[in-house]
Formats: sequence, C-alpha cells, structure tokens
Amino acid sequence: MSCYSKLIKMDLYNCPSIRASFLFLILVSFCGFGSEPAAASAGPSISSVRGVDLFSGAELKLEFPKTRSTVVVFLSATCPCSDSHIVEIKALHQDFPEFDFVGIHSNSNEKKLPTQTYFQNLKLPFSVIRDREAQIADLFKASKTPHAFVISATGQILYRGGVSSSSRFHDKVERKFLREALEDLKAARPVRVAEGRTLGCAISRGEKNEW
Amino acid sequence: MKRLHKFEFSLYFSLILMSIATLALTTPEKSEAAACCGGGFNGVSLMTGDDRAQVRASVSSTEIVVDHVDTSGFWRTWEAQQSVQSLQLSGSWLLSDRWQTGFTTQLMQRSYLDQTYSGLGDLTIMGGYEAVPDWDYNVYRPRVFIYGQMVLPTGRSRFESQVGGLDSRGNGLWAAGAGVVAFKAWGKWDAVAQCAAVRSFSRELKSGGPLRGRLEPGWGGSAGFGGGYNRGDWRFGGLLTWTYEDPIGIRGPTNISGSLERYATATLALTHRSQEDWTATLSYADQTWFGSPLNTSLGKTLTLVAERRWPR
Amino acid sequence: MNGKMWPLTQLTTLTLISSFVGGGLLQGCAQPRYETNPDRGELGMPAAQSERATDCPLKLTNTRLCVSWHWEQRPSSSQSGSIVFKVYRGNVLDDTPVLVDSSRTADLLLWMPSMGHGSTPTQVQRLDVGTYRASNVFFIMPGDWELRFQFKEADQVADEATAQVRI
Repeated sequence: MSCYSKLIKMDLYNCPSIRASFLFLILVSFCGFGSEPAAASAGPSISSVRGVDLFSGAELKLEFPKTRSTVVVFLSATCPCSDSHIVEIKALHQDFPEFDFVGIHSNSNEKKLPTQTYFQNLKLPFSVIRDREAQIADLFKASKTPHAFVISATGQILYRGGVSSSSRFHDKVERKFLREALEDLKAARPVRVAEGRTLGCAISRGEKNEW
Repeated sequence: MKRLHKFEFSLYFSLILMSIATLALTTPEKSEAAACCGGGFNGVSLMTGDDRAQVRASVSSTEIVVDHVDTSGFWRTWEAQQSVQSLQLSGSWLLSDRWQTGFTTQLMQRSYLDQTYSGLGDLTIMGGYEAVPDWDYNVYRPRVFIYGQMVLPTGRSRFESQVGGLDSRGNGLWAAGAGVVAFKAWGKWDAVAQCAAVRSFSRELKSGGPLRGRLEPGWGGSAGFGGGYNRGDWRFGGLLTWTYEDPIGIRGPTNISGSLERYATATLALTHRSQEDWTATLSYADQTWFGSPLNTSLGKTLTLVAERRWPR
Repeated sequence: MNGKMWPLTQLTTLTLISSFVGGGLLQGCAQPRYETNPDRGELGMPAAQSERATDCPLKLTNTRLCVSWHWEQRPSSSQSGSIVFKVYRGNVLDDTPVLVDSSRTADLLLWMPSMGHGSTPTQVQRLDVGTYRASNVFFIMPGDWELRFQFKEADQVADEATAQVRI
C-alpha cells in the first residue's frame, strides 16, 4: 500500500514519512514567528487612485506625487466597527489639517441608496470615493472596514492598518494607531507602528451590485 | 452503580449551568474523541477570530453504534449499546496581540445496560500564537494559528478501569501536543484545515487496577479539513477529521503490546449568530461514514454549543 | 512578521488542503464490514479445550503446570456466565496431565488487547483439587478477548497462561 493510501487510511504507524511531514508542516508554521506590529519600515508606493464620487458619480482621482500627505480610510455603510470609528476619523481630520483625507467605499454588497443616505447623514468633511469592483481595495490590499492608510506626498505608504486597537472605538481604547502615526509624521519622526492590526468587517468583494 | 461524589458533581454542574446561561455558540472546531473509553485528542479552545476572549459550553450526547472494529477491520455490534453524555467547558483569552491561552474541561457520563458512571474528564491547557495574521488582503493566504497543548490526566484511564472502561474518561496519560489551524474566507464561503501531533508519556499503572506495570504510549495525531457557507446570521459547515494513536503497551509482570487506533469523524454544523458576540451551534458528528477505522468504537454525536465572545 | 515566508506557507497549505480534499473524498469513504453477532441470549463462543486426559494446551509461563478450561455457563450480551478451569502437572512417568492445586491464588482476568481495557472482575473459587470456577464472566463488547489465567503471590502475578477467544 503506498504512503498516500496509508495517509488516507491514517496508517501512520507504518509510514514514518507521513509523520515527518506533519512535523515539517508544524515547523514551517513556526517560520512565521514574528514580533508585535512592525516598527517603522518602508512600504510600497501608490502612483494613482481612481474612482467615482459616491454621490455625484463624477470621476475622482488621486495622483502622486502631490504636495501633501493623504490619509485614506476604507469605510462601510453597514459595519458597526466602521461606524464607531467615524467620530475618531472626524477628530483626526480636525486635529491634523496638514493631511488630506479621503474615504473609500468598496463593499459590493451594500446598495447604492442606503449607502449614499448613510454617508450623507455622516456629513464627513472630506470626499468619499466609490470603489468600482474593489480595484482600490485590491491596490491597497485593504481587507476590512475601517482600514486606514497614510500615504506620503511621494506616494509611499507610511502607515497601514486599523484606526485603533479595538474593533469598536471608545475613549479608552488601548492604542490609537492612526493618531499615533499622524503625530509621528507631524513631528517628522519615524512612524512608531507602521502596520497595525485591522479589526472590523471584511470588505465584500465580487458580488454584483447596482453601482 | 457508581456516581461522582455529590460535591464535585454539583460544583462542576453549577459552573456549567452558569456558563451556559451567559454563553452563545460558534462553529465547533473540535476533533471527536474515540467513542468508547475516553482518550483521543480533545478539542482545542483556540480563538481564530478577532476576539480578546471567548467562553464556550457544550452539551453532547453520543450513541455508540459500533461496539468494536477489530484489528482486521471487521465491525461488531450488539443490540445493547453504550451512550455517553458530556458537558464541556472551554475558555480562551489573549495574552498579547498574537499570543493566547486557554483550557478545556468536561464532565462525562457513560451508560450501559443498568450501569452509569460519571466524572471529570481530562483537563487540557493550550497556548497559541497567530503565526500568519490577516492584517491585509490576500486572496490565497490563510490565517494560520499554531498551538501547543498539555493534557492533564484528571479523568480515569481505561487501563485502570475495573468495569471494562465504562468509568473511563481519558487515556490516563500526561500528553503534550502541537498543532496548526489554517482558516480562510472568500465572501460567503470559508475553509479550514488543521493538523496536530501529540506525544503521551509513560507512567506506572496505579495499584488496585486489573493490571500492574508501566504504560508505554507513543504518538498520536489528527488532521482534517472543512468548510462552510454563510448567509446572513447563519452558517452551514462541515468538518472531516482523521485521528490516529500509536499502540499503548504495558510492560511489567504482564506484557501487552497494544494496538494502534484510528478513526475518522465527519461533522455537520448549523450556526446562528443571534447578536454580534453570541453564537449558537447545533452539530451532528458521525464516525461511521469515512475512514478505515481500527481498534475503536464508533459513535454518532449530537452537540449543542453556546459561545460568548468579547471583541478586541 | 513580514511577507518573506508567505509563499512557502501558501504552497504548503494549498498542497495539504488539495491532498486531503481530493484523497479524502475519493478514497476516504468508510467500507464497513459487519460481522453479524445477533443477540440471541447466548453468544457464539468457541468450543473450549476438550477434557481428554492428554489435552492441556495452555502452558503457564514460569512453571511446568498447564491449564484447561470450558464454559460452565455461557454468558450473553446482558448476563454474565462462568468458566471452569483446571490446573495440571505432568505425570513423572509419562507426562500425562495430573490435577494439582496451585500454591498461589488463582484468578481470571478478562482483557481486550485491541481496546486496552478489561471487564468487570471475575470471582474465582476452588471447587476441588486443581479445579476452579470463575463466575461473573461478562464481556462488555464483542471482539477479540484474552482469558488470562493468573496465579498470584501477595497480589502480584507470579504465573500466567492466556487463551484467545472471539466473542
């Protein structure tokens, strides 16, 4: 009986190579052993971001290099985690006027009218781009909402990850990753945490919608 | 008839009831133990989501439908069959951003004819690490967790049972193991793969049992895969797990070489998320559908799981 | 954690998943081979050794004694039975079996080697010279069992003979 048949029948006693394979798999996983969220390191570059305005449908594009750094935040109209962070995002917009802010809506399972109504009620002080077929999300490798990125004037990603260390924002969250990154950049020092854990609802991709 | 001491049973039963009263359910990702006689590799209390703590309680009932599959693979069964009920409690919590720890314990009750035995099963302690996190989007990369487990033999071993293993609730051996769980979701579909290895440690048999000598165990392990479909607050999933254990020999005045044990467990589960932090799962597990079992009993199990999670 | 190990992890994970899904579903279905053993109140027990004077097939491991046994009361799946077993020594002239009392305490242990457990303890009483009855012989499940005829000194097994039975 070949080792493959023994594997299916779990005849591991007579197949030492299969036992060795399991141990190898465990060891390979240990190779991913790493530290806590990475300290400052250079990220990939973005040259341009294209989409349409969530409300008017007009083409919008962000092109790099620019004169100022930009904060890009992926948001959702239905995710409570995204909604709970709106207050912090608005506060950041007010506290860091030297940065441009833009919101991105990529979820393919959120219908047009409820989404527009939601963002209209938020009265965000910056534009929200509708991301067709999650192209912008794929470009940034955004996975959840909220998912924040800070892009330098030259298009380099300086920070990516969650807005905070909690899935639901509140005053006593342990870490405010995005705020810390903006403080570091404003003070012209290296970003202390270049990649923070992203918490929230997965960005819906691939569903057909009316947009 | 032999019953667990009243104080122990009432203490643990109260603990279970309190937990059930405050718990909800999630997808059961546990390997079934061997239907007969305790043992097996108990479920891992690993958190695979973005939570900082979770507590899970489950109630299960197993009907042993095949009493014995022998060394040649023949299935034998009698009309009278054993049944096993268990209450399992597990908890896990974050130690840091990527490290976690947890425990699993259970109360078991086994019945056959007019005999019923109950008591505490083995206690399992786990330490886990998120080896491959999902900080950004990748269509292929799964989220991978590795963990280590230590099994404390708080349940009675079948080797020391005076009633044919009816009062056994574990292998009766200290064991250490390690495993990997990989999880990936694509829209409404998700998939999971897992494998684990465990090494049991030898010990002297206690006096008063049917045999004297030293238990000489070997290696064991499990591997499996599964998937699910999500729609709204519901998830329908399945899991197929193969389990294997080296022969456990006895060395002493009586020498017994033991026999390897293996079986496969197929599980179907229906999960409902009633609120964001609460889930309930009803699952059915069958050990007669897959695999080439040897030297084991086979059972069918119905389980109700309640889980409460605290998000980060 | 950075991206360096991801390709290796992905490859290993995909390979493992593919092999389990493909092989498991194609080859993994159980193929039960039932051996029917209907519960008619009497189990299909193998015949015990004949009691011809020349038969004494179970040799004790440490002495020159031997054991023969037969069912006195065959057990069922729900009721215990009893076994009569006899201890012999070899006649000094022609080595034919001669009943003899064991100087040690006789006991009968039921053991299921493939499952790693026994059954409820039997009770052994001496009936006559070299003749013992083991009662409360009960098998908790069907399968291959061992009848371990043990002779103990101070609760330690000093000698033993084993018979294989299929229940």
